[in-house]
Amino acid sequence: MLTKKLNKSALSICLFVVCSQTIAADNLFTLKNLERERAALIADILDTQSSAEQRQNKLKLKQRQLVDMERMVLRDERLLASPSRLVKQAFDDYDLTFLVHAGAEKNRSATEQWLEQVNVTNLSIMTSKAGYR
Amino acid sequence: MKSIKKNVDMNKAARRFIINGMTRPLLSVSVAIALGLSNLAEASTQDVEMQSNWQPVASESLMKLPANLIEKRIQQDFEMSPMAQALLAVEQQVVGQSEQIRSLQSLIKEAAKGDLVEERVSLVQLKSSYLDLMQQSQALRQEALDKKQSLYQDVLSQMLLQSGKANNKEFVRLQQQQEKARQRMQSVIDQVDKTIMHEGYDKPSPYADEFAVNLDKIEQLKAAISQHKASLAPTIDGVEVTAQEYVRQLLMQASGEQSLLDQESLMLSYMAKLVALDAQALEYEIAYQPQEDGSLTNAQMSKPAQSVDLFL
Repeated sequence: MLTKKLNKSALSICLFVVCSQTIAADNLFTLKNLERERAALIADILDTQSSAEQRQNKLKLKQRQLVDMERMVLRDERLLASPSRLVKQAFDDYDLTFLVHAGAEKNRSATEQWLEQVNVTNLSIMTSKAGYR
Repeated sequence: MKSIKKNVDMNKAARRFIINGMTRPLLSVSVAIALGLSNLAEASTQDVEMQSNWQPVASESLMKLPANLIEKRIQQDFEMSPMAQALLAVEQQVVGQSEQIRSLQSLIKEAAKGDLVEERVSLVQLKSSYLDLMQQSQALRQEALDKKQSLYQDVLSQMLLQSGKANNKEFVRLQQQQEKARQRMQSVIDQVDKTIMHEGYDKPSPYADEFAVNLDKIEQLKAAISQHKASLAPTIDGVEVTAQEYVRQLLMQASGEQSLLDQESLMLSYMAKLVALDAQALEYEIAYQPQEDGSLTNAQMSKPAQSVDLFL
């Protein structure tokens, strides 16, 4: 009797453990958050309203937040469970998705890393001309 | 298998015919017992058919269990099914009847040849009904084994399907990419932390802080899980095997059980033949023994030579 009860409880615990791993509201939650924060960082880089100092402070804060977000995404096992285009694209282009960590490999900030990835260099800025498109 | 079953059925029919033919004119009590037993057997066959349901399915919850638990879960499910209860009931009847047969046998052994005819007929009838029960039990075990085999096959095909998905090129590529990305992150993780410190943040973020604490605990838990005996990989003869190999082994075991069941069926058919021969022998013995009331039999017919002196 006792063994039966024990067996039953062991099985239900096993099922609970297995199920708790699969129950997730949104498997792409962390990646979507990262994309949102990355977009906010790029918006701050391109922000022309703020002063240089204000922009610098905002970028520093964003970079710090991105560190955590990038680590969360890289450690997230649930992403593989959803063969989404978003996940595929994120891992296809590590240098553009994980700006802080990819930039650190070349001693660059997240901003420098993004600018380098989209081919915006000092030279291209200096040689550019203002005009109508 | 089918030929053995046919053989058992034929022997069963022969037993019934001989026993019925023998008992009708001679032993009304035995007939009553025999009819009672055969009615009981037929009724219990119907009951068994009605109650012997077991419909196991390779459900998602079953598939998520470790391989060595799958077998235990299936066995537990079977033990709780009406089929197992029916099998148990038949087995109990078999045990009861075998005791009756033994006690009758010991009684007849001690008696002189030609005595206790009614008991000897009862013994043959009991043996016959015992074989009926054995056949019922055999049929139930065969059905359970068939269902188990088909369930193991379902489990194995689902495992193969899952491993096919896991070996999907797209999935494997993504997995490799994620692993590479993690390695790249790990190689610069200290550098990134130092940079953040230099930028005026004197302590790590709550996430990083708590993650480090949790990571340490997770390692301890992982170590405990890997050492836990219940989480050990399934083994066959002490050798660790994969879940698929384990289920394949279960299928092989089922084949072994099948072949033993076939052998048992053959034994039953031989036992049935012996009972039929016993019944036949007993019938001849009863038919040709001298009548106790002194009435004439064919063997005692008068011959002319014996009556010659009557005329001298």
